[in-house]
Amino acid sequence: MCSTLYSFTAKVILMMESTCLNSIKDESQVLIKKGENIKIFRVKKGRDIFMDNTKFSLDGAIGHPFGTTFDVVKGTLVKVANGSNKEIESAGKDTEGSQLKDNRDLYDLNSNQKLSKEEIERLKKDGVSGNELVEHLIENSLTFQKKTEYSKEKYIKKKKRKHVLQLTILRPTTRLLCEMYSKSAQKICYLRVDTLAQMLTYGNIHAGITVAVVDTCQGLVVGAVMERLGGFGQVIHLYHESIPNRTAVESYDFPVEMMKTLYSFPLNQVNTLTLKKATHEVNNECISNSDETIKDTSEQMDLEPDASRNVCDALIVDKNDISEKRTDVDSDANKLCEKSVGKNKTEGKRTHDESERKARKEQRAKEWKDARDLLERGQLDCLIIASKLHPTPIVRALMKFVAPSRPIVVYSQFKEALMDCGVSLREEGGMVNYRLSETWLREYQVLPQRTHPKIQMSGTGGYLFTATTLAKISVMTE
Amino acid sequence: MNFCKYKEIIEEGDTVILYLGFNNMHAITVKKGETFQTRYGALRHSDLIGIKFGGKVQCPKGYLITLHPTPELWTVNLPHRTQILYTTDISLVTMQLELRPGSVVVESGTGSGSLSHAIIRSIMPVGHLYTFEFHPQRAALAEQEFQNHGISQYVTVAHRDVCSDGFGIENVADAVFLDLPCPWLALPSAKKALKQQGGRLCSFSPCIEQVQKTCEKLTELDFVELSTMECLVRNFDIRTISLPIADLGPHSGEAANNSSRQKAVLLDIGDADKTQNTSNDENQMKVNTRYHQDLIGQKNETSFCFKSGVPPTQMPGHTGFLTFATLYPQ
Repeated sequence: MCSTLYSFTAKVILMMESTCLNSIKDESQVLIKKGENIKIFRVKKGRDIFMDNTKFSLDGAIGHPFGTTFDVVKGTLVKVANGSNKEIESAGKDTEGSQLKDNRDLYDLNSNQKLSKEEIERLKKDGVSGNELVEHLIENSLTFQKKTEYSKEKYIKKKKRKHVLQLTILRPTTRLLCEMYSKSAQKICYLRVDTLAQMLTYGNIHAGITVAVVDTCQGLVVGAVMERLGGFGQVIHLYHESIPNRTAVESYDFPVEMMKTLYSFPLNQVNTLTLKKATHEVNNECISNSDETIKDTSEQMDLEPDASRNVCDALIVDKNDISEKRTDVDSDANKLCEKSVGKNKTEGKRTHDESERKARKEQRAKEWKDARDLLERGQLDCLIIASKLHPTPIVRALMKFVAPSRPIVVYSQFKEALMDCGVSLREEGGMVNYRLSETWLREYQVLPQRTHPKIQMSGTGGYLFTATTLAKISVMTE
Repeated sequence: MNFCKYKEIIEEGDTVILYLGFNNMHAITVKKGETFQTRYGALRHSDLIGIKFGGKVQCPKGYLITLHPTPELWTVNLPHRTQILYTTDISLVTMQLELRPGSVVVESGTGSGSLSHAIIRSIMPVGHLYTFEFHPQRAALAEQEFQNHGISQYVTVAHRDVCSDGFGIENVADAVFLDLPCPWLALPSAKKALKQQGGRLCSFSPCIEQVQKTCEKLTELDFVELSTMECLVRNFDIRTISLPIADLGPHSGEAANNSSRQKAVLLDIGDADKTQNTSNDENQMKVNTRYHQDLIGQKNETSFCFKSGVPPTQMPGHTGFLTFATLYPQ
């Protein structure tokens, strides 16, 4: 059974290889990297984007492989020939005696640059390329030749960053998305790349497993887990507030088949979950992968629906009374739908929207049910929590759905929240191998004779709490 | 057994992690008739067969817990044949090399297989690891280990000195990992091993001089996005700490007035309601102040008690520098 599942999903991987990995297409999500600056865009034929105060179209990138570098020339992308960069880098190099120079005769004066701001602007308007402009700046700098070789290099680099709009288009990956979000870390609860890396390894995330992820980091953790599952297995996103915010997941541009492995379940329904006894407990080598197990459990559960699902079903069936029947199950998402409906007054449109809304509601109820069935089997292979919420109640509510001898990984920006988690879980029992940790990441500038740690570093990437679950019954009785 | 696929019940031939405490674990391969000596007395392997992973097993002087192996637990329990990479670095390598199911990875050297297990976990069931080791016995032992752990279909072990002989494979890899004394010697061949669409490379070196030379060679070979980093982990012990409060002697004169005012402020933070009720009663206030509940701990007459995450007084301060680079499409 595993092998058939794998061969099916192997096709997904191959599809990914062919559709996503190699070349940039219309509608592709792309990361545009210019120096340290990374931004995400969706390629749309004929549409201009803004970056660094410049308007340009990405049409020129279509058909090129990811990892291609382009110059922005008159609002379009032009592929940079390989190796053309090296020439400019070495332009200002003089080998004789540069070591002997120092800055004792250099003064910080505006008159050091003979070109005025207006003249520079005019050159730009005349269509002088960025690299040519940098050459002009060097020629007209009174101090450039007096600088040391290192200082010249730095000058060129600085001017190029300002005047040359050269960018590389990359395929979105967890590594690059982390780099992108590091500039606005508050969006992802200050989760840093090395911390996320620890979460994925300590969670033993690999193909074929079922993972529950509580994520208020724009779905970055959900996306990272999905990337590691590669279409094999399931991810359940337990979301806070009314609609799952998964901006980051969209950025990955996962193929449709892979998106089918993503389930959603609202956190405010977690207390309605009840652990279901597995229908057959045999030495099934791959319980978590077995399609049959899923079907069996869901069939069994159809016979004993619980209260909240009844409410759900009622909402779907009763199309006239929807607004009256709204309970706390119904979240703000519906109100949003409602609002959009309210705007359309015409009768025909109304019925159309009504059926659309009904379809959407049905769709969501089905999604919830699928996620519920997965959770209630109690065979989760990993629980990951990365949120701005206090983690202790979430862990305590969900740990019973995790299979024995599996990792749970909890992230928080604050150590104290995880300390509470640790103390509380130790009291409750049922886990071992508790660990509260923090990683420290230092980057280096490596250059001949100038190697040193980077001047700026991240002060915190947050904290992690990890533990391993135990077999339930044996713990209770002994 | 299959190391990288969870199973429920322990069978003969399985690798089991015996957990006795956070820093007290052992990896054993279950074999009928054998016994394993623990702190709690002898454990018969046959007692493990049929019980659940994550369950308890009774020994003469106590019980221990049977955990399912993971690459992380293996890393802290494997037989050392060399220095190994630990999970902190392994995590970063996996992330930065962008490993996922389907990735083809080249690794040298194999060493004790700590990283290899983690790589295989991340790239299976459709990826492959080519791992190279110049020490014949280590290569053979690693191969045996992969076999025993049921992951040999995802890995090819080669006994080869990649610095002198190269990797001998071209245009196959998405990622290359080097842990070699002179990584720059293997770089030209590593470049050839990467796919035409490009890929990622990582070199692990303990010394900065090695990093320096590696970066020079990488630049020469048209690798870009060079980035060198160091990652350390710090574990915290959650402890209740009690700090004694100093006896600063009796108050006198103005100091006495000041301190009573200070107490009132403290009380304000901790228990505003009580302050309102008793603010007219000077004596009452003093009594309340004694058992003041602070925001981060508890204060009484003699001590200040709080919970703290205490870092170790000694910890590893350096493992190695990780240098990453990208090769764009050729």
